[in-house]
Amino acid sequence: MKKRIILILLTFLMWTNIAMGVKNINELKAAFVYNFIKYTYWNEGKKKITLCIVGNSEEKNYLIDLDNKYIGKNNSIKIAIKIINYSEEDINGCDVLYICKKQNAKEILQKTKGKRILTISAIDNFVKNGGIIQLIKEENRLKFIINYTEARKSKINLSSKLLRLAKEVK
Amino acid sequence: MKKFVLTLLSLVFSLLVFLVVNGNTANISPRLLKLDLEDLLNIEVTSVSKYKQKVEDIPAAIYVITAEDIKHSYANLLPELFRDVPGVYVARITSSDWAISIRGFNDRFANKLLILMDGRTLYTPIFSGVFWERQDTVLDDIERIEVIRGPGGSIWGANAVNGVINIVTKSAWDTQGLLLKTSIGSDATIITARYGAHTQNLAYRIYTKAKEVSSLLNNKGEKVGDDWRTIQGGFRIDYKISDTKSLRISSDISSGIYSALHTLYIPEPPYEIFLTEDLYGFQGNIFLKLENRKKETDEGWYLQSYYDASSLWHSFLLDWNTDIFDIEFRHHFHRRNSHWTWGIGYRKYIVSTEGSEAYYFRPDKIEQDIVNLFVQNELHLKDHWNLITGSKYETYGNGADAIQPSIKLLYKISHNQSCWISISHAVRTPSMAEKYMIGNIFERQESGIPFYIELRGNDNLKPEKLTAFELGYRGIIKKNLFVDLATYYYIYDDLITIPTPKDFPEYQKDPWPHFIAKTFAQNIMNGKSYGFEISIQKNLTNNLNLKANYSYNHLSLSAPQDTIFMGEYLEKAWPRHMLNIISNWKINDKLTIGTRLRYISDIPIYKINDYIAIDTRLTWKPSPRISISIVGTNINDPRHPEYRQNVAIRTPPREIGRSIFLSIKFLGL
Repeated sequence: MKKRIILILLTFLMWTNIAMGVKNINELKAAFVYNFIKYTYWNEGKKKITLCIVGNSEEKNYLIDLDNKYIGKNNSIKIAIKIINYSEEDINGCDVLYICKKQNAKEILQKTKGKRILTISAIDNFVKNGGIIQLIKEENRLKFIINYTEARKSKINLSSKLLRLAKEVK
Repeated sequence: MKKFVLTLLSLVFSLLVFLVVNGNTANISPRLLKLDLEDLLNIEVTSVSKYKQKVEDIPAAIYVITAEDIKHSYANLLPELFRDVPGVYVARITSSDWAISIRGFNDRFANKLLILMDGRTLYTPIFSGVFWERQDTVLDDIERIEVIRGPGGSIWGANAVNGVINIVTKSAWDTQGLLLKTSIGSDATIITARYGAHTQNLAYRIYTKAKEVSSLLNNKGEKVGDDWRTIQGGFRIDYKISDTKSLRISSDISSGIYSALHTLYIPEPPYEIFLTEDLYGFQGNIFLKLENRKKETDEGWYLQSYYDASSLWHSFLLDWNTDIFDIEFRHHFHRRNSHWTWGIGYRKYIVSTEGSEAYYFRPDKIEQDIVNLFVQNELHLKDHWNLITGSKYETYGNGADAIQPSIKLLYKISHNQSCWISISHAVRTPSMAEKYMIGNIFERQESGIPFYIELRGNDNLKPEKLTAFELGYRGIIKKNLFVDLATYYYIYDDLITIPTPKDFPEYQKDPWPHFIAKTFAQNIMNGKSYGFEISIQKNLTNNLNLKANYSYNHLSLSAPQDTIFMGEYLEKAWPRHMLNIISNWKINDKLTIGTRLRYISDIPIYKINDYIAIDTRLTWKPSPRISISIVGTNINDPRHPEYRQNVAIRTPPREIGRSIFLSIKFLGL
């Protein structure tokens, strides 16, 4: 009898694990990145957007899942993931760059200057240091800040939807 | 056994593969990608367990009870706090006697576990165990309790064979202001008062705590009269000498009236009668610690010293006095890829006893000097590997000494997951009882003449040895699920036990005609133990938290002769399975509910059946300063026994019934 109670409780536990579950913050960040790519105007005829990820963190595990996902009219543009190191050659092939860790972030941002790369990160002071979109956590919700000056300098054309929904546009 | 090991290995292997694979890639739910940006901005997130950061990168089976856990606990008394820890069996034998051990070998006189409070050992050299009824502190002032399952010999020294429990109280800086707490319930009435204040460089606290604990029940549900009471007080001063140097001075005094069941032998049937007697106990300690530590790198040293005196009198069986003097120096520094820790220490024990005819020590006054030295190196190889090697060397006087080495390897599978392996060797030195006691127990009667057995200690006992192989995994997988798995295989040698007497019983006339057979303690037993513990934690929502811990243990012991005391029967004195499921739900700012379910499987040697205990708790905070809790324990079961004194001491088992308590806490500044 006691063993049966235990079994029922364990199955209940497994069920609650599947049924419930508040969103993991890093999963949500990846969903935001997907939308940032979706609401940016890329060149006509571009068939592939390369999303580069630099650094190691849990966000990376989720961002990798964006590989081979589609955006754009008729789902015609494909997202391709590329994991890169800090070298300049690697960065040249990127359309979007997600920076996971704050170490070397400033140097990386220096390397992206003048190139048409949408830089996104969740690290502190990212837009202050020249990043284009920064994700921040506020009271258990995710918000984002846009450095519009930097976006224009990098010739990144953001949809008005993004500008409207951003917490702050600098 | 082979079949078990193979099945376990394949289970562990497939579980590890599952965990690693799922830990490294994470799927974004398709639903989430279909949501509008506006909706994404409205989703609530929960952050990853902070708990994991506390145990991260430690290549050992470690469980931490946090101050938050203590706030939501079902414990009234200190030993009850350990009920939630996997691998630990907490059994209440009588109202004041507890049997607590890790991974096997439990007993009222369990001797394979080292307990420390703020660096001071709580165990008694008399039987190398802990008199749990004499240890207490202000539970709300505990910062954390670290429970390490597995030999801690290389750092903690001898007697940390099956594990270490380290109780760390908050610094005086963190216990400022007034705390007043009363707890009234069917099991105990407890009053606690603490006050803390500070100047620029010095913080202090003083406290007092008084409690009265009710007696347990017999198998008919009647109270058995083993209630007890204690009063305790103390202080702690934390003085900031400089940015890195600090001095801590603390002291506690406590006294209590305990109750014990005593067996009185008489010359006619039933030959042994059980009486409850009042025992008086006192203890006090004074502790000093000078520490120099760089916060950013954690390098530094400390010098600590303490004096601890405790005594028990008015006992039918054995009165005793124990004095402990301890001084220890430890240094931690970094050199290139290595973290080095080394230490040197000295401890002196002085024990004097006054026994009775049924039980006494010869010699009745014992002194022992122990010197120890340990070294540990932690090597960081590349980015993913940590290799920790260490050893402790101890001498115990009269030429006896022991070396306890260990080697541990940690591999970081990803930034969220790690696995580790450990091989270590630890010893447990014989206690004073095992070396010097002389005790008589009643065995049987034949034609009106009683037969007794004389159990003797043995001065020539060697230390018990343990070689332990452990393997573990720890990680956060699949969103917010924290999993901690530890498995072990232990080989014990030279275990101390008392075999049944070999020689024919002698006839003696005094104090009345009887037969007596003699036997003594020897290192003739060895054993193997294996098992695993798994601990899972998940935040279902930001306010609802679920924890489940399961432990499995299998112990087999063998000796070339039949054993009568601390012998092979201990194989069946440990529950094969232990499970607890704990949930905590913060309904709103003022109201929190929790429930806990515990399952403990049979303890065959004491004929104690498996049981389920359900506990529940409701906390209401009408204002930020006041907290009121109602806790009900064992609400599903009118009563059940948890343990027996010991196979040789035949007192009937006590039972723990339903209990409820109301606790009111006031925090003022």
